[in-house]
Amino acid sequence: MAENPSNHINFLLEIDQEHLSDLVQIRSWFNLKIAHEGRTYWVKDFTQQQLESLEVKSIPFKKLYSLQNNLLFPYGSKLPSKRLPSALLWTPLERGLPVTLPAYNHNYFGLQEKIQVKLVPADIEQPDFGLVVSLATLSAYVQTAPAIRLQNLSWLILKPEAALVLGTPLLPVPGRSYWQRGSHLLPTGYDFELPVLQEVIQQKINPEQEEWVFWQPNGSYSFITKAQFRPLTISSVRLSVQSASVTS
Amino acid sequence: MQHPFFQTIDTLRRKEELILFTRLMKVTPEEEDLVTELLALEYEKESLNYPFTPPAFDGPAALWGAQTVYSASQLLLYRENQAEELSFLLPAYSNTLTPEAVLSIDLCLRFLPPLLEQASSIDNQDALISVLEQHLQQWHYSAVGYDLALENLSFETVLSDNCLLQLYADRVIQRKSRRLAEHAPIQTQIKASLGHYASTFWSALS
Repeated sequence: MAENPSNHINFLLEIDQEHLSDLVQIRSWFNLKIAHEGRTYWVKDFTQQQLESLEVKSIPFKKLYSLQNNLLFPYGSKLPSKRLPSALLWTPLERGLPVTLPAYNHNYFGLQEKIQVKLVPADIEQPDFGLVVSLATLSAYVQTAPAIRLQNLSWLILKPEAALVLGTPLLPVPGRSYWQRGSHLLPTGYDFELPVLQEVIQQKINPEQEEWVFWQPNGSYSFITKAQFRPLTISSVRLSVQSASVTS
Repeated sequence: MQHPFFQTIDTLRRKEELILFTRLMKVTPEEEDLVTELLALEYEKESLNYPFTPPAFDGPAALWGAQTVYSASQLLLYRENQAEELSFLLPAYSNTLTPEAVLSIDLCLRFLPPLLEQASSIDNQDALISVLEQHLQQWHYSAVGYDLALENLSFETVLSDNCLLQLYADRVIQRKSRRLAEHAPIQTQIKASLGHYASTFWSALS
């Protein structure tokens, strides 16, 4: 596609120092350069599209020029109004308009504020550590499983119908999986909104670490005593399933 | 001491210690019944942990296994017999090889390889060793990890039963017997058991 010839015309923007902060919305355009002479600031290297964009149009107290032969033509005018001052020192706009951080408020304590603990979808992939699986699926797999796949695992029955298996590597059966963060069991794909608070939450609700804190995606949790877990063996599954079917 | 043979097998099963209470090789039929009963209970407990459907208990086979271990330990400690008498004192098991027999015999025969190592450290030319090794050739499920010549082993019985095949593979993995793991008849089962995690569980087997 042919290039627009107007791109070769250099457009400039003139603005006074007191209105300089209005340039903030075009600060991220990396092609622009800025220079100043006294209290007058110049921004150059606009393209035609940038000049007609909403960001530029909404800057108040600005003057737009096009530059030809060092003469400044007000934008849209055919007569030059002045010359560009010589010996201007051009710097990239980003450097010319540095960001200043607000001063820290030492009198602010915010003691009354509370943080709600929430789980949010996480970006980082974590290895699985726990699996909630239906008792029927588990017993069908375990009764044909190689001993080596069971030796690192422990389990307990959550409800009459489901079992929680902990350890790695987990069993190749379908189920909801969980990962471990300290003594927390978080649903796979979720993490605390503020992961740095993990230790604090643990100290608050589970200081002895005798329980697993079993989280749900909605942010609710329950405790499972670690001592209740039993090694996953074929006989333990067989006997549990047997007694479950007798009682029901 | 009323039932020395029963006592020996009982401690062997419960504490995995071999204690001889008398020098007597003779075993009364009454005691044989007691031991068979004990082994039947032990088998029931153990087979709860067997994968798939465990084969039924085979009483005579289990008794033969117990007697072989008992006689072998007697012969190791108090030898009064000639070498020629050994095969008479340690007869081979005459019935056919079935998965039931293999697993029932294993209840006691699994303690034979350590016994053999003991015997060969005393005298590795001992005639007892070759007699017992011949028994182990036949019942090689009990001898996984013990150095037997692979070409003489028959895997037909092992392959005929799901439960026994899985138990065999589990034992090979547990004892890390690399020679058996790379032996053709059961190699696929070993690989299937380790699955994706071969390098995690057994890094030497690549």
